[in-house]
Amino acid sequence: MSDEREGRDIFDVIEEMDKRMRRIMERAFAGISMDVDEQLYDMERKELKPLTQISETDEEVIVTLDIPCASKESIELKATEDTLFIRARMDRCVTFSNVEFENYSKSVRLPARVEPKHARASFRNGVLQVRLPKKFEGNEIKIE
Amino acid sequence: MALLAEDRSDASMKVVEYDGSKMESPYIFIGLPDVGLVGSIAVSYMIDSVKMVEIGHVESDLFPPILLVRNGEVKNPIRLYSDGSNMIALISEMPIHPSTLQEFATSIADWFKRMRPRLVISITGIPVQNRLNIDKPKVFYIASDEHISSLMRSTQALVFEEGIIFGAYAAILKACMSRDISTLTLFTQSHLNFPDPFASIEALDVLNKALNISIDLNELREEAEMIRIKTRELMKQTESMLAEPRLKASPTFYG
Repeated sequence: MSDEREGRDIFDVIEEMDKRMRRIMERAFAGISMDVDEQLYDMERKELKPLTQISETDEEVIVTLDIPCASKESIELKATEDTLFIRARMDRCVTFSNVEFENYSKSVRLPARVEPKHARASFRNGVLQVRLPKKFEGNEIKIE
Repeated sequence: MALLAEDRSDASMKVVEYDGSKMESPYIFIGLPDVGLVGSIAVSYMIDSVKMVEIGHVESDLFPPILLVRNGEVKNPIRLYSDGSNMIALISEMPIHPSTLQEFATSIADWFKRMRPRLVISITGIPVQNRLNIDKPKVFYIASDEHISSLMRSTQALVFEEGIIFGAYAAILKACMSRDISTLTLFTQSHLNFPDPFASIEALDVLNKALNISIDLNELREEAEMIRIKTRELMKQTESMLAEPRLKASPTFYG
């Protein structure tokens, strides 16, 4: 330890090192999402969280999920007005960090309220796309 | 391993070579994390398929303090490989942050210049909204001169006629152009933020024909789904980098 640090509380030194490391990481990873909601794994439940892309048109919300190794028959899809839930089984086990994963599972919060009963889904080459029509929630305005 | 050569030793970023072996006019292939990880997947597969050996890495204080562990061995995230004959490959297993792109491109292009390459080949993706419905993604190219364009005519690749290139590949292309290095850049239609090994297959198929090389693509086809799962983490990090404000500012993609 340098002379400069002599006489200082060890916790001050650790705190300073921690701050320096955080500054380095913030500079290096500016823009990278560290949101826990964006985790790709649920180690406890042994489930993978699919990579997801959400887009919107005037009429619909489109959710696209990457679920390689899943079969069409194993996909369970449910939707409410504001959430899409997907669960799918993989045709093989995948091991990361000594944990075996067999399923995909994810709840996707939708950016607009939708009509779940009119949702449509397609599945091709391990990519699932769900199109959910937006719920119309306005009052008609008369033009005088 | 002994470090026999360090390029730009005064720079904040440098290429470190493990031995001094020189090759005659090599092809240099670049696969960096970008749209659909098309280049990363293609060049990683090429390294395994041709059984290339690691010949160096890129290091810098500007990079985050990351080392990878592969089969118990510590690896730098940005590495150089060679087949010992006429092929060099550059891959990165971390997205290159926009703030370091310029320095990265300059250091790499300086090193390329010293290698006297026959051609520097960049492989990347070009996002298309209806990728889900495309069975055979198209490959577009930009060639630095007429001779390379003539090689491409034996393939089904199309000229990239109009559009905008940004990010790591644009920086490298600019740095190579200013050093008079011949370049070929391939853009394959792909998913934006899902790993797309099928796009990588199309790019490698074009290179097989154009350069008269023989990368066996069967294993990549068979392993494509597992590769998609194994590269999710890198795709997620890359997606965040692609969403950086300075990159987002570019108005459109081509395709």
